[in-house]
Amino acid sequence: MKALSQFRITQFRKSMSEQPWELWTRQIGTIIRMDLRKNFFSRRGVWIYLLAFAPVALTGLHAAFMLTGHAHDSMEADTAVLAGIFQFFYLRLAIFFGCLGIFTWLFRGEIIERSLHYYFLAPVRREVLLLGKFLGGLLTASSLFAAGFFLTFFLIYWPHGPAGQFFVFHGPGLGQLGAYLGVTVLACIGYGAVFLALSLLLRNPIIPAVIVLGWETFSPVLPSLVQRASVTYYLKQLCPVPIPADGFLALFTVVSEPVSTVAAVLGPIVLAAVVLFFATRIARKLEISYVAE
Amino acid sequence: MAVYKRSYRAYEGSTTPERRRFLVLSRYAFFGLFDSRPFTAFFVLCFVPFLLAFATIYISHSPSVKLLLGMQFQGPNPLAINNYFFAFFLGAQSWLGFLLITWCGPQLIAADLANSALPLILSRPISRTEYVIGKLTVVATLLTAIMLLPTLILFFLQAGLEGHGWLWSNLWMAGSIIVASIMWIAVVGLIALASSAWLKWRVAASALMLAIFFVGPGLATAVNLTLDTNWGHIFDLGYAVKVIWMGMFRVPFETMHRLRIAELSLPAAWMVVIGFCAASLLLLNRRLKAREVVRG
Repeated sequence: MKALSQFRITQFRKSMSEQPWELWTRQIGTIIRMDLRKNFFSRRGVWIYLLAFAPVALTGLHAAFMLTGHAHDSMEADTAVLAGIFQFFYLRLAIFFGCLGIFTWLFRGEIIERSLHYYFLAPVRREVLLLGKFLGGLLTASSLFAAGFFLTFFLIYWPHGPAGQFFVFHGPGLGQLGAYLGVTVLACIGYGAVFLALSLLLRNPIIPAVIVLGWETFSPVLPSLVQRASVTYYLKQLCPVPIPADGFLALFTVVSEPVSTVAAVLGPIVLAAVVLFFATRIARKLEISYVAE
Repeated sequence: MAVYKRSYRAYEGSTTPERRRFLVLSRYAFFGLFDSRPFTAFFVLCFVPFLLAFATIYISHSPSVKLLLGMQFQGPNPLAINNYFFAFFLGAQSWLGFLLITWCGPQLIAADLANSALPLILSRPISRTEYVIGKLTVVATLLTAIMLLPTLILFFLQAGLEGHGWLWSNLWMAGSIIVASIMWIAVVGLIALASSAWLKWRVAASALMLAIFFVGPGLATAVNLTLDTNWGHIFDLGYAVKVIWMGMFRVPFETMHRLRIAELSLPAAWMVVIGFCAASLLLLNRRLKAREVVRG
């Protein structure tokens, strides 16, 4: 029995080593480059910039008030403000809608522009195409939202002068920035995989997206075990500054047992891997119908 | 008949009267919408809250049913049918209506633009205004069926069961229901048409509608937190609508304060709603032209 399993492992290793990894890597690189050009430099993508950089304008205004002496916020208050901006604006809405736009457009956009058949006619495996497009979308979403948050972070602490510098470079500031940026990337991975799969499955993924939004919003009031099926459950625990539940929903919020940091990091990644696996199965059978769109 | 024998002959059938021509567009739009089974199913599902509310009103007036269900309350009656009840019901129906319009609204104009059909439609004896009214009629009819009519039916049911001059002393509420519904129809309808006109891909148009109502509160929170103000609510259309509705349904200021709906004044809330409607009309006006510029 042991010999059989050993034989199977050897066979698997041999089969894996015989795959054209170098070719696939090059193809993925090419697809990513093409997608990055489309995502970053098209007029269609302007709204994502607005979404990612809207808080930068606000914190810029706040910084101007601080520097001119019209506002005197303490470091603690500004840290709470930054946590609020991240959790209420970026995590729950901006990244959600940004990923909805970016990842559903990856394949549906090619169908709308009647160009998906060029990809399908090229000697590229569908799985490679899907992975390349996903990584292209992920790079776009992560870099835009991370850049937006980085500037917001900078503009929050910069007006505090030396105290702000000390907080960032000798206090918890830099660690918090790292945690926020990590959560941003994880959110893009989780939401991106879900929306990419939905766009392959349905012509109009808006209603499922509304259901996902409702699920992510109202999951805190559900039993602890059910909460684990939402992306925000893991990401909220990774946020360095917790925000207490507030408002009407706070009455019904179920406080669940926190998971370990490793589990919280792996949660969205495993979810994305599972969803992408199913997405590759759908992509293999995908047929183009430009008329139906 | 041989082709060369075919010659032009004017249409001799009956024509639609000029005043009702915009309804032709609405009629075809309805055919298109109700062709979809999921849409029809969702439309029917939108009436489930109505049935529940109907049952609630009936139960609240039936001592025998209350006795049968063992509903004997000490203190204030939780089944009291008052302005809060109608405001809550209208609010629930408005969100269902919003989801329905988010689904179907964007395809109303986007399909015409994507298939270059707009110049063809506007070359008929139909004006741009009539075109917009025709499309808006679809949204208005759907929302009236989901929001306005059920709420009015519930209102008159309550009036009938309560008796003792309840109708006359609460007639203002009927007015509130009508005005609140018309306002919601105007807001949702105009935003749906504007997003549909500017984004040819209906998924993007639906996403834009969702973003206006969901990203708005997030942006408002960010503004309020960062600048330590309450004026961030001007970006939150849903909040402004809530403030106006609470005023219409005569919800006391203390309750509004407790529910955190008193952070924007009533005139400011009206300005927000009017601003969004005006911007939508402006966008529609810019986009809907009886010509098309083809580049490249």
